[in-house]
Amino acid sequence: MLRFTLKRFALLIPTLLVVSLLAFGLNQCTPGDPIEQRLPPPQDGVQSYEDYLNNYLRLAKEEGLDLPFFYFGITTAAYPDTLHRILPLADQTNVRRLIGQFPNNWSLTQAYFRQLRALRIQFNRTDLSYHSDALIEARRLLENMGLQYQPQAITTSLNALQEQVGQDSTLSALGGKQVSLLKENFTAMETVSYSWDRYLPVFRWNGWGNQYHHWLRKIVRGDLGVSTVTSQDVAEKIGTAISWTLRLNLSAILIAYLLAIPLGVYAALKAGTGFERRLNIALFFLYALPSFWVATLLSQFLTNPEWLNLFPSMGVGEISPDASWLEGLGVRVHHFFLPVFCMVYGTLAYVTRQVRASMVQILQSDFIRTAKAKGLSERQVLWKHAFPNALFPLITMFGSLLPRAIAGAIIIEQIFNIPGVGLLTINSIFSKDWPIVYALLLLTSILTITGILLADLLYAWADPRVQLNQQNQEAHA
Amino acid sequence: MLNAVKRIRGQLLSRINRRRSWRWAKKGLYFFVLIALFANFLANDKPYICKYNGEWQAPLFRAVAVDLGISQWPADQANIRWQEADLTQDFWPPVPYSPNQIDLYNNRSTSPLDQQKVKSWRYRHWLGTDHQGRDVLAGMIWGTRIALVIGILSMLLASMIGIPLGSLAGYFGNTDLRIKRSQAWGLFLGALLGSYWGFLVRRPLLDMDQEISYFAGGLFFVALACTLGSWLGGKWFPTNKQVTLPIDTLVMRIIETINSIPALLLLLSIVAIVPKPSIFSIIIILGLLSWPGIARFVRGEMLQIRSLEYIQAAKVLGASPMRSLWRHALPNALGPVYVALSFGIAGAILVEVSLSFLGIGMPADAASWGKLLRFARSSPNAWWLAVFPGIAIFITVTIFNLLGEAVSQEG
Repeated sequence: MLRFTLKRFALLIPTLLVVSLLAFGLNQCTPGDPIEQRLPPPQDGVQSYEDYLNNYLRLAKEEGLDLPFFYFGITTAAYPDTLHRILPLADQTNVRRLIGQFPNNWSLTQAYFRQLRALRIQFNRTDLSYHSDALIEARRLLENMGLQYQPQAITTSLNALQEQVGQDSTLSALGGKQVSLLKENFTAMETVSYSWDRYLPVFRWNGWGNQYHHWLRKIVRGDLGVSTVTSQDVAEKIGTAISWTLRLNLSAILIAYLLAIPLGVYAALKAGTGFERRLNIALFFLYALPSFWVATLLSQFLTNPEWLNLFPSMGVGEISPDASWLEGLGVRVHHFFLPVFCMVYGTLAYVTRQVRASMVQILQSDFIRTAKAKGLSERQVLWKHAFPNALFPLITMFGSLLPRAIAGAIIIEQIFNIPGVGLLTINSIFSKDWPIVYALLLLTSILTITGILLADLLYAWADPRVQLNQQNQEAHA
Repeated sequence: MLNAVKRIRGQLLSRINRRRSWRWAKKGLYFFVLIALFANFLANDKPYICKYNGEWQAPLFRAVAVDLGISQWPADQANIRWQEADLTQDFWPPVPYSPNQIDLYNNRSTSPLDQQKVKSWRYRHWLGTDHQGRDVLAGMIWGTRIALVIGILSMLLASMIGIPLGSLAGYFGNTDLRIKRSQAWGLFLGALLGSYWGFLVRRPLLDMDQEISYFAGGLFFVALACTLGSWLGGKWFPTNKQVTLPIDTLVMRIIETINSIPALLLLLSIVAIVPKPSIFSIIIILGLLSWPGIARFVRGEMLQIRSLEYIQAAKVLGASPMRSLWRHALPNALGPVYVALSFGIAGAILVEVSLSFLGIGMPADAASWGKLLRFARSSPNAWWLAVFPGIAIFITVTIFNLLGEAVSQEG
């Protein structure tokens, strides 16, 4: 048993690693800039580009955003090893695109980018005691150029910029020289000769100081970050959400099991009768009934004063502090009845069919015939010999039910406004609060993995044949 | 291979024909497929043919041609509303509304039972309208198309991944897939370099919104480099040393990992960050997430088949392992795939409906059953918005479940 347990735990590690990589990777792919959202609004409403850059860099350094993504990286030789240090993120993206367009010489691309930034700083100074339409237009053009990477687009903008600067003598004095320098940089970058070795792969080792490492370390410590929208602690938010989801799911699964086991056993005893056939058909349709449709119907017809106002439609209810536990339970049951009902019937149908199938199989096996032959009563045969053996599949099923239930609860939670994982995920997606979304993905995966692990261990403990099978497989291999 | 597929089809049909409920499911499937195929001819805001300005026109057919890119609207017809235009001798589709067309006279959720402000019974909203005055029946007809397209195509993709992986895992197990060491190294290097040139070097394409050609080309590069690598490896280093690939463990580990992530949550969090929501991306993601079910079925079947006598016979007669897998074992392992496929399609349709119900990841103008259900939530008294699309979902899911059950039961 110990060996089996240890082996099972060892198998967890790659799964956890993949899941964490997935959550981290998806988090990196999210649109929008997390630093941008957190930047303090400028004082007096105006802010020079330089101040903005400094503020941004300071915050990004705090967050570790200037670090490479992962322990190692494989890129083409065209990309510099310091690309991750180019911030803000929008600029980094554009530099990456520029390199995609002009891969041949990084130092020329870098010169162009630096010159562009210098010009943007120069033209966006707040201490300029001078304003003109040309300056505003030049600022707009420069801002656009920060996002342009296709040669035609850049040429057009450069020409327009030169025209604007040429029209205005003050502007020309301010940055005319630099504009023509920018143009020279661009021409140099565009006309540099082709070199094939830019397409060779380069492997870079980044060491421990990378974003994934920091992220993982924080998560292991229990620090899931801060919501980008409400600045709340993510761990706290998720903790309450998971507790509601677990309460909902576990009560649904428990009720489903409690109902399904007797029903399944009874159906197995009545195998081949009209009752069993009718029950089968009923269970089949129950299983096919989409739970969120039923939930929509129930919430529409049973929580609506127009039709029947039997149940509260919102949330989990409030329990006043001086209420007795019975009253509290009443409130919860009243609020949980419909959502739990919607989650129970599908599971019930599924579990009942499984119990029936495994019970029918067991009742036909030799040891039951032996038990009957030695004169045990029907009851003893059924509950002492057949039933415990039929229970084994139920244990593994729990492992597969939990992830399905958590996923299935997403929409139920949304419809009935239960503040669980599903509702939190959906709300966070809508408010683009990505740290929460991916922390939730990671945590629910870990929860599921734990559920499956427990079910496996329980199964192996209850039915030693499982361990034996595993060892046999090894022996054969 | 083709013969075997034909034979399996015959078997499937004979299995389905055994019970009345399964025959009904088959008929229901045909019915839904027909609706999906001809959705734009069944519900459209353009007439089939009509006389407009004294000339015969076929606006609906022209609209189809314009969508296909083989025709263009004449300047005077580009933006007209055909229902309000002055037409003579006009022949309309059974439902003279498009799913996104707003009927200003019957907005704010008109009930199918109430008085409706329409020209004649021909223009009645038989299943009512939503809060903006869009016809529910038209939405449901077009929704059939999206549901079936997503369900069937995503499962097609899933089986394209699941069948090869599952059959390799089941047929060879952990011990029997041996290849020459040089070929294995060639394959490994080929895969590495192929994904490098296919995906990393071509990365700038992704920035130019050419996702489809980026991914398709990338896969092509990888496949090419793998083939080339193993071929060259075998050719240049002709050693006879062999390595064993533990393909079964490998595939099962991947399946376990995918199964340990709550699928809908993962789907939601991927779909939410796709830059442009499209049905295409949903199909891809669903396919990539749901192949384990199919792979498991194929693997289980292969485990049994590989010990059967005819496979041994093929081996003794000198058929190469790949040949006996592809020509002899796989066609006979495909039966259970249909079970997994039909349950999978039911599941994929449910996922599509859930996504559009939540309003995440689906294009805003896509008509879907789930979207109608979502509207039901915002107008609680409009029972027709909740009941009719739900029935359509229920029937479709039941049809595919019944078909799966029919195929899975032997005898």
